[in-house]
Amino acid sequence: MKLWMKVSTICICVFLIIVGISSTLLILMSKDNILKVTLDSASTQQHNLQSSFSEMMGYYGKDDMDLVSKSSMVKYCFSRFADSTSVLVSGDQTIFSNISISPEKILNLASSTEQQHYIGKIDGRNILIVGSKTTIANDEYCVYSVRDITSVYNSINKMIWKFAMISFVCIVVGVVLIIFLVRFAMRPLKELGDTARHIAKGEYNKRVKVSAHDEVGSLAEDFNDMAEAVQAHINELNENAQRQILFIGGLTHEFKTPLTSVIGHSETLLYTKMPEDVVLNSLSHIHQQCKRLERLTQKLLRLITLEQQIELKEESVDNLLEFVKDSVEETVRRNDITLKMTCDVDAIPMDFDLMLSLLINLVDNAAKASKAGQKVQIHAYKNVIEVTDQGIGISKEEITRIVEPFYMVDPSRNKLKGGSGLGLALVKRIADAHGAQISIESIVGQGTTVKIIFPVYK
Amino acid sequence: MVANRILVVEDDKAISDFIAINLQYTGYEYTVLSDGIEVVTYLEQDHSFDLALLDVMLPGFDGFELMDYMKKYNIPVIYLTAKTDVSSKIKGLRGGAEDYIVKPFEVLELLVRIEKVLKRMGKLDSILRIKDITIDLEDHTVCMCGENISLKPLEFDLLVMLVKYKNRTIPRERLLNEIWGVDFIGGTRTVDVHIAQIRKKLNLHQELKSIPKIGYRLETL
Repeated sequence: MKLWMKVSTICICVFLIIVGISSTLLILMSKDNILKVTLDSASTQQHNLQSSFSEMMGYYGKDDMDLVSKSSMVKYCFSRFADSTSVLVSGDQTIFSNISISPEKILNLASSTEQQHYIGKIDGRNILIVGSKTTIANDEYCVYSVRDITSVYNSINKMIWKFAMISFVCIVVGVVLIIFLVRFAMRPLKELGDTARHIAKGEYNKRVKVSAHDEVGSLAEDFNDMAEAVQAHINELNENAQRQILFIGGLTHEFKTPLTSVIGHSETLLYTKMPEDVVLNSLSHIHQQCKRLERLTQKLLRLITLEQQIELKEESVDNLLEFVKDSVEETVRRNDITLKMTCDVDAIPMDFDLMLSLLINLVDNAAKASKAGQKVQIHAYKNVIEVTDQGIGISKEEITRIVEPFYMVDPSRNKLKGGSGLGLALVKRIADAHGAQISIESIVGQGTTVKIIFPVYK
Repeated sequence: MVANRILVVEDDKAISDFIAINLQYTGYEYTVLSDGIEVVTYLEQDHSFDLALLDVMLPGFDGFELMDYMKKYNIPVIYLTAKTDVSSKIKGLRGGAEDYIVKPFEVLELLVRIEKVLKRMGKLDSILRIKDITIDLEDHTVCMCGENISLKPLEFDLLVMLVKYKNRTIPRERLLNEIWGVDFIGGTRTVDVHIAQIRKKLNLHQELKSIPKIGYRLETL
């Protein structure tokens, strides 16, 4: 059962009970009231009749009369005040009556002289009998007033019907209003639910419009905050997945290109008879491509192992630069560039091997970007180590992308010089592991400066 | 007989080198280019190619972009690429390429596909020549010094395959599969018997070499 149904049902039940109780009470009270008025009028009339009759009898009936004249006298006196409803009974003899009912059999006045009444159904009619006993000159007389109050009951019934009709209309209107109002009050919840379903289907940009300032409104606000967080998270995951796909794609390409050469050349060597110089050429291609694969796996291994936490130790920067110089000697010679190093720092906390690898990569990149005779400079100062070249430079749009794995500014030129597209990605990872920032400044045609900015320790 | 001319566009020299060697030994003429822009300027001068092998990732224009130029000069295209995703394959074939070969590939596969495309384009000569032997692929006849030599159908097919991929060792299993079919139950000895027949009938004792433990090679160089 839905919430609005539950709330509506509860409201309707309470409403029905209240309407039921109040209308029943009203009906009962009105009925009592009408009966009381009727009874009052009847008892007043009976009282007047009885007292008038008693007074007249007291006036005329003092003399000793014979039975016949006495009877006539009583009848006469009573008839003077009686109307069609009046009955006079003395002992078990009805002296005066215009009706078929014998009230003395229904309302027994035997003991008291108090006025008594009876209301009941006789022969399908509602009858009200009011009676009292009076003693005149040693004779007991019972004076009754018998009224047919069926019309009163009829009007009471009519009234009950009217009440019922009114209650029914009230209930119908009330129920409709309750359902409508409850649904109206619950609408933000429904909207919330709809939005949640949309989000569940993957439309993470959906939001709830917050209009109410009640609990539902604040719930909607919280919900929107949650949706915001979910969207941000999902976007991040998607971006990661995208990067992963690009990475795998780049990796596959980087592996497949040398593998194609190795497979092609080795197959050619196996199946084709060729002159010795062609054979040597093929063999040297195979050798170079295998070395390329080796470099690639080395770098990949570095990238993967860097996922783990590294330990930093204070290392002499002078010593580090010496190692760099030794390692890049071959590169420097091959590219015919000059390497200049200046060091104004004693020690920086680092992982020596990783930092060495980082700087070799940077010098390698600088060498690849440079023409013969140009200068590559390493300068260490304060908390910065920077590598500057005078090479081809990188455009602004490229700078943001070059640290992505397998991104190459000029793929064919890079491949010609044996690059894999992983160098700067590795540099970035190593810098990250040291908590260091990388800043790349470059002017196309004039050169590039890459700064490794270490966090300042006190 | 004019050799079919093939344009090879590949920026990795190690790859273009072995493709070139194999094209040369199979008897094709070839031109190797390594840059998209270079291809466009080259085609303006010389565009009488029967086929182009295009790498997709190229400096300058990429392989897909070069398709328009190839269409302009009516050069059928086979893509060579490391991209394995279906979408680039579909993109390549939709763009009008005749075939799509994923790196790394086997040389023989490349040669077979080149031959299939050339045949489909009607650019393949129906006459094969080797030494003083002329093979007519349409009439299924073999002439040596103008004299008709009668070969059994299987011997003919075997000869054609050896001539087509001349200077390459073809493994016995490969010959068996291509000519007798994969269902053939007889051993590789069958190949040896037929080779002996060809040698005898066409006097190819020198040229048709057995390569120990591998197969046979028809040498023309």
